[in-house]
Amino acid sequence: MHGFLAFKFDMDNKTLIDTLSKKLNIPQATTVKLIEGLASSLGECGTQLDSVVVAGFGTFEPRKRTERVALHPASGKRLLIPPKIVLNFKSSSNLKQRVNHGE
Amino acid sequence: MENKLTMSGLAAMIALVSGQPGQLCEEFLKELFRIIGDELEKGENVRIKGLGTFKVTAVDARKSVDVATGGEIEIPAHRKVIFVASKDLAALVNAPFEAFEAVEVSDALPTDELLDIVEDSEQEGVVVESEIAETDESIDLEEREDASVSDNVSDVTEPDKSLEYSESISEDIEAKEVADSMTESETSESVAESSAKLKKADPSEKLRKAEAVGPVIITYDIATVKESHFGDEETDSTDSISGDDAAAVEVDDIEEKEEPGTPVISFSSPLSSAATRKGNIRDNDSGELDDKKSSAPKEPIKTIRFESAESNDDDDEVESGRNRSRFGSGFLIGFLSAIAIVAVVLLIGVKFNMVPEKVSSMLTKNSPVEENVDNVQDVANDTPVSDAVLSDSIIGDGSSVAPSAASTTAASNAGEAREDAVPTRASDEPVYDVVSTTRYLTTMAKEHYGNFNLWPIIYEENQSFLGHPDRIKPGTQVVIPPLSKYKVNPDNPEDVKRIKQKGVRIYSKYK
Repeated sequence: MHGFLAFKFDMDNKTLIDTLSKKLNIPQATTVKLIEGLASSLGECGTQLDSVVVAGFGTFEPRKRTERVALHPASGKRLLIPPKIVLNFKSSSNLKQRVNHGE
Repeated sequence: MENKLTMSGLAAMIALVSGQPGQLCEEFLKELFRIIGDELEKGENVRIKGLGTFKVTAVDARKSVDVATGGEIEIPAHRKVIFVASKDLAALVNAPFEAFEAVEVSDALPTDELLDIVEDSEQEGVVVESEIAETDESIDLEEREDASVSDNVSDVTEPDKSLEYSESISEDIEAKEVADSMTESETSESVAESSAKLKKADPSEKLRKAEAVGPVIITYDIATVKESHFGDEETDSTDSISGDDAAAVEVDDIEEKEEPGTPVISFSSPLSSAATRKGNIRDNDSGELDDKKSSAPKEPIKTIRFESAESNDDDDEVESGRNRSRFGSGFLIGFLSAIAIVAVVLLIGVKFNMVPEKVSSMLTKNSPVEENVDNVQDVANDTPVSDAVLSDSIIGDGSSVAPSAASTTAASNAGEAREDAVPTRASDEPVYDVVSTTRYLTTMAKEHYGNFNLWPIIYEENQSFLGHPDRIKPGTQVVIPPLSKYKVNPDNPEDVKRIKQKGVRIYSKYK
């Protein structure tokens, strides 16, 4: 699987929930709830700038971007971009290895 | 803050949020990330609704520096996992700063702006100062006349000395001159005749004739001195009149030490010549005066009376025995008083803008006096010239004020024209409407565009004179621009949304 010749079978939301539900023996609705819970938890952690470490997978690191002055690409006006928090993901070495294992 | 949450902690949180048992949550997390990991291992992306997308991307080989050794190393091509948070999650994470919006910043940085303001004010200040200086100068010109009078009073002894010097230096010439003058100058007519001749005569001839006219020359000494003083600036041919260059130069040197207020002196000194019925010199002067300030030419005429009296004295004194110092002082005192009066009259004239009339009337009065001179024609010819000069100069003087007024009126006219032009141009397409207590921009937008949400278009069109959109004075006339001007289609929800945002921005300006 090289470059754009790779044909990916991307896992979409439905497949994931289906698989999860089967594995956990729980209804899909619960899985959806849990995922929603995960999102809100991650969001909450993000607002607190708390990073979440998932062992063997990676780290979700919220990062604060400070405000800056930037040019508006279209109008060319100078804009003061407000600060914001973004959620970064840093894959663990384990995941990195796994991802690159196929090579 | 900035704690590290482990999977168990996260599971507890999820349990709290979703109300599911903690164990299930932990299992769920383990399973979820295992599946994601598996999928990523296969090189497949995983998209989770409400969370985001885990992507596997290929990274090309690149060169880098080994942090430890400092040597160059090549990072081989590899894959890496990217997580792109979904919109929802990103918004959740960014909740603390959600309220902030990108704000437009003026082009110049705040510090630069300050600097610019300072520079502007400095430049303006300079301009203002220079203007003040100019006006001061113009005022000074009049004041300086007074000053020069006082100066001259204090310098009364000096000119005497200078006269003596000039006497000593140009003794030969003056001896002859005075001798001649003894005989000739007693009859004013003969002087007038010679002066009349002088008018037409060439400079060289004038020189000769000037020599012939003794007492007049004595007055010339001062007159020419002052004239030559002018000559420095004006480069006029007063030398031609002055028979005694040496004296003129000598006194000139001393005179030059004085303030440049001497212009006044020069004008009154010709008067002495006028008193002795020498129209030509005055004419010469007035000719010179063309270049000078308009106020200058007015002086000679008024001082005639004084001068004539003095000139008689002069003649007497000269006749009595060349007592030039005495004559000089006497002459100078009268001379200075004449200047003072002239200056005062001038000031009054300038202040009340009566000068032109006075001068013209004086001129008309003056011309008959000059008609006594033999060459009536010449005088008549000359007086119009001087008249013209005066009128010119007066016009010039007035022009300094009048043009400014004219320019202001012109400017105001232009402004009006511009104001007129704007509406006319605008009225080509847009419609007018008037804000009232029951008609707002929204009402107009609803009426004209069919959607009250489009009011920011009207606001933006009239932004220059509208303040807070909710506090527009009733009676304010606004232009209703065509929607095409802002490329808005009221049926297009995106356009409406854009305009709505515009409205929010307008309001945010006044918060």
